[in-house]
Amino acid sequence: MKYNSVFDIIGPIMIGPSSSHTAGAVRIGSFAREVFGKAPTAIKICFYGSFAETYQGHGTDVAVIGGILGFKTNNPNIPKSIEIAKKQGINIEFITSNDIAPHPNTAKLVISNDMEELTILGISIGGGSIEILSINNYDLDIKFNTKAFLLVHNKNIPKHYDINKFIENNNRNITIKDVSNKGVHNACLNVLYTKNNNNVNLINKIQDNNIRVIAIN
Amino acid sequence: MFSNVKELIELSEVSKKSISEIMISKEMAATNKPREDIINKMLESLKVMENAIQSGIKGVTSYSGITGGDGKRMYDYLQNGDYLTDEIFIKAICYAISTNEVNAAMGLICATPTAGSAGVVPSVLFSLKDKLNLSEEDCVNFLFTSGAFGYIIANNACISGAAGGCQAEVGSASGMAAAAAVIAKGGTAQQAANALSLALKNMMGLICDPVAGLVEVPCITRNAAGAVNALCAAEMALAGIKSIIPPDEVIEAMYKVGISMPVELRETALGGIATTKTGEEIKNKLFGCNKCR
Repeated sequence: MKYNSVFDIIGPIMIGPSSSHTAGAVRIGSFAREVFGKAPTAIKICFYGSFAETYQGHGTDVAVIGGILGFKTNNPNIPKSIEIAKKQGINIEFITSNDIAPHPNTAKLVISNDMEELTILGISIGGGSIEILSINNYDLDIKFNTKAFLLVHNKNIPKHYDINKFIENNNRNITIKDVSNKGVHNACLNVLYTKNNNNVNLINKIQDNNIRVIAIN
Repeated sequence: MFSNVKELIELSEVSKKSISEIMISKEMAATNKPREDIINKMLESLKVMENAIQSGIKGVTSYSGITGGDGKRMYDYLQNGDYLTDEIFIKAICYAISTNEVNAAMGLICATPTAGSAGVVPSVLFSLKDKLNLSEEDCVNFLFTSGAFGYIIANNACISGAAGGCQAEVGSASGMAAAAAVIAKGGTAQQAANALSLALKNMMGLICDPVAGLVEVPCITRNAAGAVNALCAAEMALAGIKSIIPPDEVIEAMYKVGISMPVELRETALGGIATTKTGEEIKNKLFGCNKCR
């Protein structure tokens, strides 16, 4: 199911004008911010399809930036997010592309600072809901009935961890994919795919090891 | 529990539970949240909807400046009493326009199921509230009922103009509101399903052609159309009119029509009224030829 909650339909409560082009865009920006873990110093956004044609009128540009700044969909500062970001010294660039995109509402975000860079490709499927399709140009390819979590840890922590130790023996329901940007100072990013319905214990174990866990779907 | 309209209606008939009750149970199962939290969350949405209408009827202007004040015009018209039809009809138009003007002013609204169609469900609800003597609980149930049908449409078709045209947004909202209105009046689940089908069929093929790419023209006044179409479909269903084509087949047809719509007619502002002489003039005046800020 693409939509799992009645509040995906009656909701979100949001700043207008468009659930797909404003609220959905905020959420794509928010995901990127959550993974990056801090405000970037540079943001480059590429819009495809309908996003490319209508981003100004729909506030998709201020919406994505708002999300990257940490705003939620109902934040009244969304219309001023570009001004706010520029005041924080963040360099912003928008481009559009005519390339075939996976969905009419597709955005590619590249957020960075001097040492790190993260690329997120997301789509806004309607009603404010989003899907993250790729991280650092690795296709996530999340299959039906699978939950995906992004495990983030700073490469500078002294102990190297083996992610497989979190997976119980013989658990064929879980796979791991490395989606790290291989640049020197970037964080380690791994996608954990699970077909299990209840993952609370696993997530707790991982978080106990100073690894951040972000739900992707 | 249910993945299409047929299953939802059967479940309601067999269990003797209302559609709103079924949706609440499903939400509790899916999120592991207590009933009280779920009801309170919907109450929050109800309040945002009411506030948006109240703001809109006072008069708001869009962020772009090209629309505004029509919610107030309709409200003044309503107050004057000298109208063609009746109070409920005028209220539905007024509240739909008011909500979407607030949306275009980048104000706070509740997407139902989208921002572009945010005016439809609330306007039908609030226009009927007095006549049907709906309590706060009835209003919350109206939203859960409309949400149940919207959930089915969203998962079996689509609810974005870019993927399926305006039929997927205002059309879907109209279907959701029609079904909920039937239940609010005391109609059966089967009648609600008929109302959904009739409303969707009436808006089949509606394109998404926003002038200058904004969610204003024709979106704001189309929400009024979605609202009165919902009332139309609800009345037909309550009178015993059945949809010859069953609801799940209508939803599938809407999905296929959306896919076969040319991209110019799916929220790209490259067709329909967006490319009329006046539409292009408005776009050029607002954005010129340089798209990037």
